[in-house]
Amino acid sequence: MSKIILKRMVQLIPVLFIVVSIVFAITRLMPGNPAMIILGPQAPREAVEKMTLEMGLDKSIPEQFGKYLLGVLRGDFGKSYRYNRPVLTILLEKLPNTIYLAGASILIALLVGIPVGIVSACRQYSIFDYASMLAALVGVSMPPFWLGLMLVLVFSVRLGWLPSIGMGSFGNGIGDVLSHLVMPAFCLSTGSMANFARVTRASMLDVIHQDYIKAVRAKGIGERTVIFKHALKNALPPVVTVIGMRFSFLMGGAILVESIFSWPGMGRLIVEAIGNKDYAVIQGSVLLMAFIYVLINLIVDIAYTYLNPKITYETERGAR
Amino acid sequence: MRTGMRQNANEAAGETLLRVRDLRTHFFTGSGVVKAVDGVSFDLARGGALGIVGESGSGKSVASNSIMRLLPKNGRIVDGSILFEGRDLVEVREKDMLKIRGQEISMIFQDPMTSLDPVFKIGDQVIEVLRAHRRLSNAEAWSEAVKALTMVGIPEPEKRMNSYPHEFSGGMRQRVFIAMAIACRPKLIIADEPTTALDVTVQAQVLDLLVDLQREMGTSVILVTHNLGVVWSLCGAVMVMYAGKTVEYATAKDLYRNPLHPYTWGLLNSMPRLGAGKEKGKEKPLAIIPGTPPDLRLTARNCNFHNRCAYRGDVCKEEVPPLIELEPGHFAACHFQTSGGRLTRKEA
Repeated sequence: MSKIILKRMVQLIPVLFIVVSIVFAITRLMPGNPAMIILGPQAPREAVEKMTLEMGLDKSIPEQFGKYLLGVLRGDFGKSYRYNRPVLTILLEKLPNTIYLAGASILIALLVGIPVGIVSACRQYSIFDYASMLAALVGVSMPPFWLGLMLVLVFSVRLGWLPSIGMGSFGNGIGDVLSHLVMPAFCLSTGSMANFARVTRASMLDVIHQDYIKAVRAKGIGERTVIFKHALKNALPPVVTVIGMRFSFLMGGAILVESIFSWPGMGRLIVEAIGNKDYAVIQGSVLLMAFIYVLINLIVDIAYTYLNPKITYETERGAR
Repeated sequence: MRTGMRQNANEAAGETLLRVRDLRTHFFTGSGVVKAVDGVSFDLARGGALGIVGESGSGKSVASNSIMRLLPKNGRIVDGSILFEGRDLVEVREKDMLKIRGQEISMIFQDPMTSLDPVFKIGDQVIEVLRAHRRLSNAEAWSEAVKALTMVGIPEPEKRMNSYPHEFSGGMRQRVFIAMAIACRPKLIIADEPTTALDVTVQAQVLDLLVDLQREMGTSVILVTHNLGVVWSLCGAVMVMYAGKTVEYATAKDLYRNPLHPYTWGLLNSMPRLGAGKEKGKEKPLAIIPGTPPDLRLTARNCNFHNRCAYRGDVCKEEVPPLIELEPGHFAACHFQTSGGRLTRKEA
């Protein structure tokens, strides 16, 4: 197993290289001179030129790219001129907040979506099935930013039950943290919840009608074991795939929700960095997100080997 | 069944284990009621083997699934009784059915490639059925499972316990499945076309295994098949089904020597036999039964076979023929095969 992980890690290198190249190219294609933006439109020409030199923007693009790449290899993602701090420090400060929000919403989505999917499949065409699939349809169709605004309108503005801004702090007790978390996490989770419910239902329905499920019943095994042990384990691979996809998606999808709820995470950082033309921060955060995305895919692939014994990722026998 | 079935020849050997009477299993679909099983009756002696034959869609599998009470949601046993050791399985609660399935009656399915759970080791699957029905420690369950695998001829059973189904060939998987079916020493094994999906050479091995196990353990077997050749060699009794109904039921010997129902004649004529194709140097094509089976939503008004039968009369379109005992232990359902008069079988 460790051999496979190592192999996949090596495969990450070209992927990340391509990501770095694309991000670097895109930031250079953005119009406007960053030096001018930092100093303001009234800044004297000499000051702008000095700044351009300082930031290395006078060098040719390949030269800038080479310098950046070398830095990345050494763990140096450059410096944010806006905050005047190393990019890596800023990223590591914001990333946990985003993981915390994405994790909470995935957890909500899993706890609701998968059981709903299972029950829907077991009671296909029942009222529960129709109602939950209709709700799921609404859930996937709902734009999170709109839902977020509505939630704020109802629960913060009208009812005044929940705070609409920030993360709260543990200093004010766990209640403060949870009350800050509940709205953004729920808002972010609706799409995934609906997605999980639909995929779980479809996958379970497919499995329930397989011969081996009937064969398990013929062994005199109770319905609960049939569904939760045999059917669910067989139905999980597609569900795990969408969980992985959704988690990566949430890291990025948090951009809108983080902006609405002023959540101090990666999403808001990127939005601000784009507004400020903070090249180093944009590059660094996109690179980090890409890395997380690939990492999650690796975890999903590894999870497959546990769920489906036919998958070993090795052509030679016995190398499992 | 109208006339009531008496003891048959097969049964004379021992007491009756399973007595099915006028079983009717219908499926309620959007386009009507499908009478998949619509009047099936037979007896099975303890230790005996019964073959259920008939063409595809005749209700063989539904009949055997009805005995296990493993029917899809839209299927229901609407009438009849299934007396297993004197207990009517139609009336038994689902909770008690769980104790019967796998322990008293077990089942072997058609396609071993799809009937083993692909994500569990085969050892765990055999152990699962053992532990569902018997109080066993881990070590005991393990050794019982190894014993079952040994009985069905899996080489290196200890080692194979940790293999997954995909690591076995089709024939070996069917052996594993049989091991699962016999692990609890059931009184009855229902084998639903157990060799149809296997290679011809492997078919014979699996059938031999079934026969050996049946003799060794004294288990009764119901063999669902469309292969009459298999039935002659393995089964003491045979039930012929057509469009959901029992049309003929007899000992294998009687049915072979003296088949009575025109449908059975058609089945026998359409069996390929070595040397039978040539007569007086002329090639003779294999006989077929013309026409197709009736729509099962429209049956039960007359003889289901009337539109394909070479011997039909007016009464066949009007009335359902009852299953009657024409000779001791030999039953048939035909308007023209009665104690009063008999048909003469035409040359095929």
